[in-house]
Amino acid sequence: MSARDLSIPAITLKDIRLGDYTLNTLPLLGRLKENLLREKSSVCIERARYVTEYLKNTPDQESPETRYASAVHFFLSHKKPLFFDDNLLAGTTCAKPFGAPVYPELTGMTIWPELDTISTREKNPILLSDEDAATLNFEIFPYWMERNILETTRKKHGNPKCMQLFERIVFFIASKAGCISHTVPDYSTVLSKGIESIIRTAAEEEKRPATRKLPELDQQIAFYRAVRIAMEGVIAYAGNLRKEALRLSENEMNPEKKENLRKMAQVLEQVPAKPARTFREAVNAVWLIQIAIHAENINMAISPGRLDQVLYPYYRQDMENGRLRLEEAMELVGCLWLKLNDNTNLVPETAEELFGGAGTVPAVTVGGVDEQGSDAVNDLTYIMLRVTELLKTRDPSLNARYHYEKNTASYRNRVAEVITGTRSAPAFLNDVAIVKTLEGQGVSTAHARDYAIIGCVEPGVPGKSYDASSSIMLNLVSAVELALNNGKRPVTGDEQIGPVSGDPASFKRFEDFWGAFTTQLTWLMTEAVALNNLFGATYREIMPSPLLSAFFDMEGPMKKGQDLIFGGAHYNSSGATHIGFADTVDSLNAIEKAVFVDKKVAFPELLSALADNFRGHETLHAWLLHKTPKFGTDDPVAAKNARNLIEFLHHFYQGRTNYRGGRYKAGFWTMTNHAGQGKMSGALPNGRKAYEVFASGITPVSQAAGDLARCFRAIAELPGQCIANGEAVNFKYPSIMNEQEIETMAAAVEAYFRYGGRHVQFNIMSYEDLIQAREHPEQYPDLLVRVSGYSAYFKDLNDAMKEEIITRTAYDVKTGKAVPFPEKHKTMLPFE
Amino acid sequence: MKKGGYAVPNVLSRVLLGFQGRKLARCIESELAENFLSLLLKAMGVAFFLLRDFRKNIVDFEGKYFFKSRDNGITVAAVFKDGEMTVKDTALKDPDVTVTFKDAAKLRDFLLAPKQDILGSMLRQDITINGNLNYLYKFAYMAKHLQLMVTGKA
Amino acid sequence: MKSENLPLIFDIRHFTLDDGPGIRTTVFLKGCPLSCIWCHNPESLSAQKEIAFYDHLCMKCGECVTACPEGAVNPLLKQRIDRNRCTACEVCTEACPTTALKPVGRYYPPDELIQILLKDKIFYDVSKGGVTFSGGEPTLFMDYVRPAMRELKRNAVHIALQTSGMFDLPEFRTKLLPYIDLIFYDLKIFDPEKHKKFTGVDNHRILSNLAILAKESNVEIIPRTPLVPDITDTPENLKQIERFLKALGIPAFQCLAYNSGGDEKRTAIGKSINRSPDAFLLPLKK
Ligand code: SF4
Ligand code: SF4
Repeated sequence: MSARDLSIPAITLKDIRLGDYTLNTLPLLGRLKENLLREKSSVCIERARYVTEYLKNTPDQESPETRYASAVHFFLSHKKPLFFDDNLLAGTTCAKPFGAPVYPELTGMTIWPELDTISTREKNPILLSDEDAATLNFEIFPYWMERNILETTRKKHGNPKCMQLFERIVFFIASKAGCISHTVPDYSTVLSKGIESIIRTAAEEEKRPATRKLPELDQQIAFYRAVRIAMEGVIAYAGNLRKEALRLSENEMNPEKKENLRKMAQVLEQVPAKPARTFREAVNAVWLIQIAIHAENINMAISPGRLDQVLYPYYRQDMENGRLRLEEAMELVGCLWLKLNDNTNLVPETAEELFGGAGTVPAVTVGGVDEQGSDAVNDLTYIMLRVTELLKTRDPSLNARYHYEKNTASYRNRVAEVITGTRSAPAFLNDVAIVKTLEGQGVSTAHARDYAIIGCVEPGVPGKSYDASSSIMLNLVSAVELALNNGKRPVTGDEQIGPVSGDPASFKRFEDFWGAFTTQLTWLMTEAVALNNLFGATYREIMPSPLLSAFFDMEGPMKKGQDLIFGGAHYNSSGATHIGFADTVDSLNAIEKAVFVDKKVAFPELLSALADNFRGHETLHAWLLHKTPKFGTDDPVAAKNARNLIEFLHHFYQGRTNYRGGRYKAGFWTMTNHAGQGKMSGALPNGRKAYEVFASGITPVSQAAGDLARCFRAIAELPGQCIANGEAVNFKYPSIMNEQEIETMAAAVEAYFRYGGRHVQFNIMSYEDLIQAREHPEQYPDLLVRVSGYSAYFKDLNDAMKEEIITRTAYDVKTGKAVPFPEKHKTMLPFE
Repeated sequence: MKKGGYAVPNVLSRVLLGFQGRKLARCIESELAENFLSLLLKAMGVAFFLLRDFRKNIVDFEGKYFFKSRDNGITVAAVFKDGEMTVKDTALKDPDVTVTFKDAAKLRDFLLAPKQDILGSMLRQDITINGNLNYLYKFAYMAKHLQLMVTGKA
Repeated sequence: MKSENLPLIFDIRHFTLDDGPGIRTTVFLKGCPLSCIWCHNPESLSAQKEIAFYDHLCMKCGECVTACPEGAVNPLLKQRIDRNRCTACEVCTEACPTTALKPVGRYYPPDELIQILLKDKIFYDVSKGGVTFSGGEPTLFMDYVRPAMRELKRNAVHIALQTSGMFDLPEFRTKLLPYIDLIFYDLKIFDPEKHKKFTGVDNHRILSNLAILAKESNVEIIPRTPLVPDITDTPENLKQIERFLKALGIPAFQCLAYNSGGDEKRTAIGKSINRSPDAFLLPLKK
């Protein structure tokens, strides 16, 4: 089924706002949302228990793929079929209504020290029963002590230097110890064919070895077998759900509930085993596959992608046949949105500082153009926008693609209006620029046009590219500090950590400093890439992804007979992202201007000012703060340093190959790491004081860019082709009052895109609103903010992160000028 | 108060752990931490001996831990094998994990402070870890659990 | 044009929404033939460069005192700068580590100005906006403004002018009018006596220029009256203006809320606050 075969217009809605539909007219959604907000998160050990039990009792098999697939199968077929509420969709990620699953293969064991206290800890407690704690302590964790990704890698390579560096935390984070995930599968194929057809294909391929060579042959056979085993697990789970739905419906007295259960059982008879025939079946199938993927891969940034395109044929056909009413379609979409919120991350208390408050970031992408380059906006696009506007839930993270030549202005304005309504979502993406960037990475034009956002902001091609976009998170500021101190960092004391790059006092020109900086950076990146490749190799041995591979494009893993982790996808890459971009650029600017151009200060004095956190150097501090070039203005020095840095990173990574044969890519989004890393870094030449937050994503430093138009242009003019792993641009408007202001905001975004800007997201909140919300969290239980590529409940964020969001520059939409930060709260600013 | 599902009630455990338990409790709650490590290990030893549920933690567990202060003033090896813990104050060959600490108070805070600042501890090099982190997590869990038993609070 | 012949520009504001349709960039030229006592852009009056001092931003580091070659910075003065000695050389503003000392007015060679304005073109295009010339009084510098307007027009940019109407009409007609799409034309006080009293100049020319322009040109004109309490907002004055405009066939005019925001700026450049009736903020009337 394809959207393009149908000749009727894609927009049949009389009112694209769907203003008549509210949580009052859709009471089911209102009720489910209330439940969701009330629900406390609980640790869910179900998956860990079954997977561990299976692996413990089953000695080595012929291949890692079949061994792991069998463990996943074992879990899925034992997974408890549960119906917690009146949601129209069957299936749950966890055995708890709002669960935090444990993945002991990855970083699950970091909560071991907390088993007694996690339920009552101060920050984001997660409930854990005594019984489950004992199971983790005695049954599950002991098995994994030598076996998780981190320790397997360590043992194999003798605690390599790159790993020790990673464990210092303040240089880079090799996320692969905790996840690969970060991908957008191909839902269209499995919806239209059904899992049974995948099993058939796998079975045929398994038996058709004649054309292949040994030893590849063995591996291919093993892969197809693994796919089959995993897929049968998914079908088993759906079957158990169906039986349970029938059983419950028989006992149910309430006629409405009874009917819903009966309908779910009907749906489950068809999907995901067989092709979806109706919109409801298609939506439920998407959800079941999402659950299945989490049985294998951690619940982090497994993104459904372009659901307005994937689901459209089913919507369209049902609407035409009169089988579906608009409010039913909205309810089903809303139910999916709420289901996507049924799980959260298991974060140990110590990591809250770095990651606190993040959801599981399943990203949904709507709008933009189709593979032919035509306007792809349809009824479902508007339905998804409206449902997002009504529900205002943390997940899914919604992204609106916008092609300024192909999409209409009314779509553009509607997206801006939804942002105003939710005060934070969706993010805006520039189709023209992003398609070009993907093409630059060797992606075909048609595939590039089909891009979707992976986790925060990284573009990938659904089912075609395996991007592991969150492999490396590198702290750029650490390279500045290492260069300033000849390979040492104030936070790590007198230890010679990085290479000796020269005593800055001996530098004659700014280029000398740049040389030292890039020496440190190159060293850090080399170590980070080396470690990522080691981790990648470990995944092949203990945690391949046959299940996820089966939900990739049929031309990829299923054709090559190769698991994703071995390079089975059509396109392969690994993504690095960078923390502290604007602070780094501004520090480079400050050094260039203060030390070399104006000769205002020499390195020894600058270094002692930094060591003293500017105490006793107030005049110098003020001068650095006010009189040196800032990224986000039209200062040419700032533009030059920003560009050079991005190009330097890009060229380094593009020259490195990952364990799957793909290239590395550079991006600039920071989740909450800019707050955490900031809290662990010393004072900087741009005037930022020690232990204060960094600016987020690729956003200019708070209060440094006073003029929105120039700021937009400064970011837009960065070399977008070199930002292949995405970037987060975070802006704030204190308020958007009326239609005219919404239109202005939308027009400004369009202008920003026409200048070349790629991404932008907003929080529509004033400094005062946010300060108030911090002081009275109980009054703002569901205040959502855009962090750096995803949404979070403000109350869940750690203090540093709250401060960063509060101090982000707010611009007056009428004047485009930065609103001055309230005098009373000035100490919150990173440079005060 | 949660106790991980198998601990004996606080009062009883406190009585059972007797003298060593009280000493550890006092050390945890006081400013002075000098003997923290030896007190902790002694109390652990008593607890393993007396409390069957706590002993379950080390049945079938093999692990070699080496603790040392940065100035090498304190060196303690704790070896778990065959359901028993042996403690020696000598070096150890091939430990699973080596924990180097600046001073005993830092080690105590690292393991037991109510708001552990593990990031900070590692950054300031109050504590450095070399080896398999999971062994450390397991030890930290046992220490925390013992703390709950002897003081009644985390 | 040599730099000494260039007029000063005291601000270029990007992304303004209140100076005409769409998203605009507004250029403020320094120098004005009127001196309205309520002026809220006091730095626009003089065509000379001035140095502004903002006390609350000063960290009292003393860099300015040491830097000034004329001995014009006096820390004991509340205004900090002895205006009689100051040559506006900007040495102190360079030295000042904060933004407490700022030059008011900068020279932009015509090419640079054009380049700056055209950089925002996409903002104009997507919002049906454009460029607004304001002041001060832009028509004081027609030879400077003209090439910029011409270049903008060549790039299909919408051009608006804010003027007091005090210009030489024949010159205006040939030099600027052909490029302009919209004129915001200030009509402050109808009565000639009072006009002279509160703005320092006679309004005869202002009225006649408007009358002629309305008749012979089809440029869009929006007359505007700032509502200054007891000076311009009297029923009598407003009625007279309305009658005059009706006779010219101009159906409506804009009343602008007066804001007293000029005080801080006035103090900053060392001018005393000298306003007879107290000013307050009025809601915008149309
Ligand atoms: S502008 Fe020049 S003369 Fe005037 S106060 Fe500053 S330094 Fe002195
Ligand atoms: S240099 Fe600037 S901050 Fe310092 S005393 Fe003068 S005006 Fe104040």
